[in-house]
Amino acid sequence: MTTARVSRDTLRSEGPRAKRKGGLTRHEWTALAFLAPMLILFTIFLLIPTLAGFTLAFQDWALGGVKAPEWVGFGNYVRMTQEWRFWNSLRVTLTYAVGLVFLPYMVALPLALFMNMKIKGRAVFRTLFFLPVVTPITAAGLVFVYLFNTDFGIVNTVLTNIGLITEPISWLGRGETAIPTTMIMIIWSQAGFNAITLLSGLQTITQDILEAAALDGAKGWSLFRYITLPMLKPATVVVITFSLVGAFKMFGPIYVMTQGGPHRATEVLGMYLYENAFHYYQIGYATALGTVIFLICLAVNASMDRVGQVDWR
Amino acid sequence: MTAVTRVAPTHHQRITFGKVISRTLGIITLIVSLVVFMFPFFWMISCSLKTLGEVSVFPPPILPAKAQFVNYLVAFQSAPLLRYGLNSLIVCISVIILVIGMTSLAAYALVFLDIRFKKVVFLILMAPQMVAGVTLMLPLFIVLLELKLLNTLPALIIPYAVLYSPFSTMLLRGYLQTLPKDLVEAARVDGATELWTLTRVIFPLLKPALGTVAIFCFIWSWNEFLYAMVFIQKPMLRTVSVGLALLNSIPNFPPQTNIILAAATAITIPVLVVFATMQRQFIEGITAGAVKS
Repeated sequence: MTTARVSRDTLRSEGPRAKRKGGLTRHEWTALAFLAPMLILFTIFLLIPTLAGFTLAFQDWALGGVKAPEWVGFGNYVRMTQEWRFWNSLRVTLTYAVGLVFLPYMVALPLALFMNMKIKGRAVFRTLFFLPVVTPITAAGLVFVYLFNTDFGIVNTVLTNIGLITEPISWLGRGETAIPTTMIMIIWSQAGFNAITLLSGLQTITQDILEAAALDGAKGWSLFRYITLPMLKPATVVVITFSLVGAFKMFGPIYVMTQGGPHRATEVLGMYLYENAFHYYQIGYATALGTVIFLICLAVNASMDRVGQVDWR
Repeated sequence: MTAVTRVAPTHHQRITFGKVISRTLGIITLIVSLVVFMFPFFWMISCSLKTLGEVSVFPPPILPAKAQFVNYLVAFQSAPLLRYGLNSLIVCISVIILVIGMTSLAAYALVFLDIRFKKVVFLILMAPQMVAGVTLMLPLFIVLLELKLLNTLPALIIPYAVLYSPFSTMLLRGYLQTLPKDLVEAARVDGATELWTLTRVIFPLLKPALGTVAIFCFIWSWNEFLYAMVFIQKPMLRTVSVGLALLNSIPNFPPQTNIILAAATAITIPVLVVFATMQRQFIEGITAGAVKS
């Protein structure tokens, strides 16, 4: 009873910051103890690897080789500019990035708008559209490889039956069709996430806002352009940032569906990095590639923050 | 006056008519898209039950003449799928425990403790988002090699826990901010330690948010592919997603599509079941993240 009184008095008069021990208040010591497990793991598995990564990028180091790591300065980056495969993978990655900024959004927005109408069974639609998002990418990849199979695939069957093609197409075996085909799989696996995120944005547009807009004479396109779209900004920024960063870090879908082929037509930066690390054992060079991907993602995040601050009205 | 009363109803009617049209159009679009989106699942299951003849014929039949459940038996006998499942389950559960333990402590410190540099601390805790994935893979590989953790399940558990923690910290912080501060103040006045307050007072109230975190961690850990492939080379320690992708590396695994798709179906069903039963919390978690930022 007495102790409780005393501590309440101390709290009132001086606050928890008053009790200083070595520069930190009592609350700060507690906070440090509470944060310690996370900070220790972050140091070992995040900070140290990241710093090591930036130093490794300046070294020539072959994993399992006899040669000791050798300091090469910007050598790895210079080598990058001379490798056609680097430029190729950059071009392929940018192609995916451009496609994946627009296409999954354009598929998801109508779905979100229609799901936002008060229709029966909305929860069922929401759940089912989300199923591809939680499907393991390896399982999805195997299914899509078979869907687009040249000889026994259902896609070629349907297209032949409706007379669009006369001969089966080798979807994943040809450079010009491999990117669109893999992109279809990625859109399939992302659209549900985008639609749900956009739907949650649409649900912030309340009846009051709509009524006020109607009084101002907004309907149809102008309602969409001046009310819906600006209100969707936060959700749109989330969706586009996720799609872009995902595109620049992409690996799984490509590895499972094409392994970067045919003839490097789908070799994204992530795949090129993986090949250098685990097929050619060029750890230094591969790490340098990793820092390039990191910087691109940093730029994407920074610019999407900017987009988030611009007024869309 | 008369003009107004005459115009108003027509105006009203036109909107309703337009609404009916757009509703019908919307429902048709949704149903057609749903059929397209669900087709790969249907095809995966259908083909996993076909005979070898039925998956290698043009044109392919829509359904198998007779469901070949034996394909699943063959898949489980040819590859250690149950072992992969057990490995994945161990990883998932450990990640859930680790993430919930670490981030509930951190979120409590951020919300209920009076500390300086709160913003900076929060930003540090969000750092894993920046380097996740392929960027961190090689440096992490080297560190795990040095620590002799490669080819052990902790090589996946700890990095996953670190990388999934920002989402959990953010969600739990948001949830704790909605709780009344008096709860904690009252416990302090009664002389309770902060740890006691967290475990006895706050933790029970956090249950819904912790559920969301657990589902996310489960689904992400079950599906993760890149680290699972690079950090684990021993076949018996593989998780399901890698096990499935590397089926062709198993000696004597039948390369038939029907058997491979049976394996794919078998590893997909656990996630779909977890998601379908807990989908409300899952979608609320995404909604919370999207609206806040």
